[in-house]
Amino acid sequence: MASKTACEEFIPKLSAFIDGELSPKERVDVERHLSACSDCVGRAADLRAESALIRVGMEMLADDVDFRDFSQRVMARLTPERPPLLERWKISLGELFTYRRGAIASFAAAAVAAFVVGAVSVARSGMPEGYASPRMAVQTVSTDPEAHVAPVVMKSEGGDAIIWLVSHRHGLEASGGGRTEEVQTEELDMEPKPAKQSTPAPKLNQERPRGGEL
Amino acid sequence: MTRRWMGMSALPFIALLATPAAAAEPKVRVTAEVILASNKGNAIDPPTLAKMKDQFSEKGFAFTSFRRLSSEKLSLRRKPVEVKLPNRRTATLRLDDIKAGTATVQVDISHLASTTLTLGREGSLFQHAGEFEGGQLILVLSPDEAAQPRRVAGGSRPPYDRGSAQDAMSLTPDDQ
Repeated sequence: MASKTACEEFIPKLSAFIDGELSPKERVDVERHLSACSDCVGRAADLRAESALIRVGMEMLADDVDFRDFSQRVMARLTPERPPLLERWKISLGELFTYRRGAIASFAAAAVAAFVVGAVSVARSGMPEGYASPRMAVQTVSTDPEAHVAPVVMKSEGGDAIIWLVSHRHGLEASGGGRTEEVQTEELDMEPKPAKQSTPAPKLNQERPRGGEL
Repeated sequence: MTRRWMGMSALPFIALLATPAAAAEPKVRVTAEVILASNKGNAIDPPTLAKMKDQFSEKGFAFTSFRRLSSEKLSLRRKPVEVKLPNRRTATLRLDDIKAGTATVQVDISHLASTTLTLGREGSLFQHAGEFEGGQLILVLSPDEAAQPRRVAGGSRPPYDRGSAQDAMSLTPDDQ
């Protein structure tokens, strides 16, 4: 059992002990004293009970209070007159240009560089995609075997390509459709590899195909 | 805070790089017209087709009437685009590839013919597409208007209505 003198030393610390406000060393000392002093154990129990009662009482009081819009009300008290939007913008910009000059300069430089790169890119690709070649060019022409036609490729003076289909059945003779005279066919920028024709096209400048009905 | 500003400074560049990435799928634009050439009457509709008549006449075709039945501006991608022809055939157009900025396009006329061509800023393709009402259907494929050489004066005209090759050359600003 601890002496009364020892109790007098620890009683003032009991409240702080219960609230967890003691340093580790003091806490160890108090715990050691409590292990040997039943009177102080009783005092500590009383203090805990009081603390619990006070907490419950405070909670009951708090339940009666309306805490809706609490933060707004607090903020309204802190800044009772909110400046207008323009004023706030001015203040923000003023702070920005005062304290962030370097960052603003680098941002502006980056934006200008991006704009220049974009403008150059747009200028280079002024034409729509896919039109890098100056003229259209026919690469291959093939026909359906069931159609019994052969293609004749012609090139006009303006650089246009006419692909006309002539009938095999009529032996490449004009059949009352369009052609009235012999066609002078011309090759039109064809690639070196031959056209994958299902049916052979008339040889240019040899068979003299005529257009007409299919 | 400095890092945040560095990040913000990089935003314009990121936006610049992201733009082409978003539009990565290749696409080309062409104009597809369906013309009926026949010997019934001598209507040229619209009148701009007079040049086409001359071009065909030079090649020995004696069609007296040219009528435009339809005109469409198409955006070609890998997925085929169909143009219905009045003779129950279908013209199917598809972008094959784009190499070195030049697009290769496949034009299929159903049960008739298939043509592969590379697009260019000048010239048109006149693809015979079969018979219709006693005349001949012609599918005209022309470059996108934005791709055609700019003219010094005058309104927009169909690509095949450009006059002779020399005229066309004289109209380009580069030759001024």
